[in-house]
Amino acid sequence: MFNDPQFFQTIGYTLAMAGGYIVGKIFKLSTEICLFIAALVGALVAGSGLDVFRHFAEGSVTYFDIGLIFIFATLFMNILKESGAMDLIVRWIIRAFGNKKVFFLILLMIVMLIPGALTGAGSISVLVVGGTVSAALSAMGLKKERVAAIVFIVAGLSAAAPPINVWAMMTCAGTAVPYVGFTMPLLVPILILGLFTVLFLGWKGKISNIEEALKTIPEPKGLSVWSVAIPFIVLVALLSLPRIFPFDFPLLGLPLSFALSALVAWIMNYKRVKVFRVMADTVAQLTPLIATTTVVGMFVQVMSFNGTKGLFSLWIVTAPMALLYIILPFVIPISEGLLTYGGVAVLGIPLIWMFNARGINTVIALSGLTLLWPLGDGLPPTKLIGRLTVDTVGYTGSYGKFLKECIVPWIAITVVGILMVAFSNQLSFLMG
Amino acid sequence: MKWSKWIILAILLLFLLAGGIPLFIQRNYKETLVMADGVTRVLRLSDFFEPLKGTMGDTNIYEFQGKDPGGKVLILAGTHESEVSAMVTAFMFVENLQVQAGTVYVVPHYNYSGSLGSQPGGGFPLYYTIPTPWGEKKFRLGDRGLQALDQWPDPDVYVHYPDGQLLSYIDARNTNRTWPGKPNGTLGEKVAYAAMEMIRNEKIDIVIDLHEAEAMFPVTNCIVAPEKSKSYAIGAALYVKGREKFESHVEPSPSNFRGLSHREVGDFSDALVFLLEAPCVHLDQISGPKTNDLMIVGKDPFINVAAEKGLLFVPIDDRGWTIERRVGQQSSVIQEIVNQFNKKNPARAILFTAPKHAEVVEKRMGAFFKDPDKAPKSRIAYE
Amino acid sequence: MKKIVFLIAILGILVALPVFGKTVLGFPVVMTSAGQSDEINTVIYLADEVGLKYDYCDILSLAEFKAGVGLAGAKNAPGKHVAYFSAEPKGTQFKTFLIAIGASLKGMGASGLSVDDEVNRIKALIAYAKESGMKILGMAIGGEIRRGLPGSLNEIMIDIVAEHCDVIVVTSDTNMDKRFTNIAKEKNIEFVEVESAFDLLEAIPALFGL
Repeated sequence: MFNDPQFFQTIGYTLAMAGGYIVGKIFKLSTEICLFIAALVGALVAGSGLDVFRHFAEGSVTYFDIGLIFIFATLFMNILKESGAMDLIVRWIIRAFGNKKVFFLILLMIVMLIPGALTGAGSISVLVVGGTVSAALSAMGLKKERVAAIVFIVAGLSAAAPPINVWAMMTCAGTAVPYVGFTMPLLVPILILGLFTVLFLGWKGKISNIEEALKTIPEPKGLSVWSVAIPFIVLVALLSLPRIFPFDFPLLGLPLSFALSALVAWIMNYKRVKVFRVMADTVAQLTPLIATTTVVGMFVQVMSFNGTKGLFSLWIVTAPMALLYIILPFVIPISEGLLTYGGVAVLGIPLIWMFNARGINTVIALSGLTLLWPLGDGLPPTKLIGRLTVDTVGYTGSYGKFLKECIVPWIAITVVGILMVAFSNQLSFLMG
Repeated sequence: MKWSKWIILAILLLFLLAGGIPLFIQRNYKETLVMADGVTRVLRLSDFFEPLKGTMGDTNIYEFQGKDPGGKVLILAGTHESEVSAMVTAFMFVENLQVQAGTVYVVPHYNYSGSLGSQPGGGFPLYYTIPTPWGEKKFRLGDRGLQALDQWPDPDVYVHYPDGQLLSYIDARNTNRTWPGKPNGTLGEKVAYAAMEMIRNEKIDIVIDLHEAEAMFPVTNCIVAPEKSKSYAIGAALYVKGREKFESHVEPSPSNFRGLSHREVGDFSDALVFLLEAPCVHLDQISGPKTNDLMIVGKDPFINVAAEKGLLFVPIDDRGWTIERRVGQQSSVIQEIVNQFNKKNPARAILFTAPKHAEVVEKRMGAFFKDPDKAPKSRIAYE
Repeated sequence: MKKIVFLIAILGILVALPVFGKTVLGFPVVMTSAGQSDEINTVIYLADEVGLKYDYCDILSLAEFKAGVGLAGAKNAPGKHVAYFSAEPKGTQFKTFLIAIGASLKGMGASGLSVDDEVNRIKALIAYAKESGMKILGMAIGGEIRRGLPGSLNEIMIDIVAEHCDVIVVTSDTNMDKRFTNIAKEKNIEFVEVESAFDLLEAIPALFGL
């Protein structure tokens, strides 16, 4: 069965790509360059010839939009940070809710969940509110790595939360399953897991003395409430108006929405913000991330071109169901860590078809699996959201220590996700 | 700037050119076809909706008007430009159709923009070729959706007009999610609106939207039909199975999934609509290297393994899902749907002849394409 | 030439006779689905095509069945499809009860029926048909996808219908495991197997003497 020459050939390509990656690492090149070498080797051994350039050009734009969104969302937040607006907000939150811990944690969780739920991107939650939330959590005396873990896990949940779950939507688009009936199967486990995460990780923190806590955060002088509020109002308006008036509001897209909000933020604070420096800093801050998404796009393109993507998909869908329950908790996050959204195409689409062929409720099972994908955004080599999180939180310690903090909620999320696959038919009442 | 930076910049530019030029050439490549004598006019989609003029959404419509009066059928190919047999069927029709009664309209690239570039991340070739007695016939391999160059930016979520159903942002550029269209909407919505205008104004009786679907996809090898087209589809499925010995079953068009031709065209016009899915393997996530053979010969060892595991929705055998079998199936099912229509609506009967399944399989695909070098200039058309 | 045509015709009839059976089913005819799968629509298509007159309701109730031709004025409603073409006067008792066998959860859901509802409905209809001396014609033409493991919906529908039939009509892909052949042999039921539903365009007129 697995004895056709094509199997040996594609296994050979896989080994060649892995070899390219390892050689790069031996020469201590960056992960992005290593992935690039792997892709180059994978294309050339499969006989692409000069077409390799075209494959790279095509693959490099796969995540073009995501890169643009990152740049403008970060620019928006950096302008506000520079103006002191973030400090103002954190001081307000601490003063208002500092002595009601459970309520305080739940509030922070909800604040974190909303931007990602509406845009489908955990990165937006991290970039837009992550800074504020982490400052508030730090004020509770929590260690930076723990704060980063809370921000990362809740941001991941926010990305999976309804109404917009990009993994589910991409799978639906690829399988022509309507994106219908996902609201409750996603919302219920996400709220439970979100509560568990903030309470478990945040329980030890408390604000013993509000005035003491406030002292640690600089008070921005002469900053009016409006110069903080208006940019956010503009952003919320630009994100929600297309949803409220979908057929009349011009289609701006997320990058332009954030760009306009950033412009407003600068106009409101033009005296406090040296905008060109902030722009240059933002691009410098995001260059590694953009490089990752670009190279991953090329890498996915080559994997598809030479058949290694097909081989991996095939292995997953032909694995016995019992084995899948054991390997999916690893394979899904790792695929996301390696390929970001590319992992959905490699695994999600064939998995849904395989579930369908085996009589598993695809909506519930897919909802469960999409809880696992965001976890992979913290894993190397790309660690897309993980990197954003530690940057935003300002955690400078070892990356491994941050991941270790995530472990309990990570396991909880995995267990819930896999149980949703295993008991999909019993849970179908959630679809209403 | 230091000289090392200049070198890096130069290498980058070289990369951009080496990668970009093939894409630029593909976007401007013209497919040649030799129109059958029966082509009475070549219309443009913008003839039915002016604002489409000059955009990449505008496309050719080949009209075959029979001598005798009768009904009208519109055949759409290239809604998804990666679903190869749809376009090849349309090309074969434009080159071979003979219409006696009624009118047949053929649109080879309904999603013209989508035909101008391949799918980022897909790893496919830029062209596919079919061997013919006079050489290779070359086609552009497009993408499922409109090109980002022609419709951008994407929304964070696509809200279907007019239903309001939320769909993936990817589907904003999917011309089989933009039906029934919107006159002041996105390019994809305008294309659908123009087609709806044509269907309504020309009083089209039958609309047939040609597609291909993966072997792992449950809705494959079938005719998708809404309630009002269903009995015609059942008849067509019955006859092709009985007479031509191939399977194409009927799938109901779900009422809660919006934006698809088989749903909206019927709901927003008097036309009977059908969506045909021929099985293909090159779009399956589990298929191997993305080569021309994978698309044209339709065989893949990885697919065979999935078939042995019972994961596929079409039978796989040594023949492979060749372009001949797929095009033959599309052609025969189209003809049988029209026959069913004729039986129930004799006053508006549409009579035409086109190659059928067995003939295409036997003579091979290339036999149905004429050599453009030997054809009179007046019969040459470019896509 | 004429002789040859005549000979072929005679031969054809001789060959067809054992295949298409001996029973001639009477009119009026009423049709329903056991399991609400899509095959009932194929049966309707075939009936229309060969000019078979019938009354039809996909979720025919016992009261409608007892009311005879006209089905007590049953009307189309969401999840309920009705048609009357019988030539006989309203209220005439049916002579033939045609059941298309095939289960679809989607179909039953659309008609608002649970599995138990559907099983009880079909059992009651069959009991009444036997009581009043109607002929029962069971058709299973959905192919392999309308078969399953013992105890699955499709098999339950076969369990409750097949053995009560006077005539069973199947396509060979639906009878891939010879289950229908065996039931017919065991219960001495007239049995017609065709290659595909297309062949019913000839088999149905033969059964009804059209």
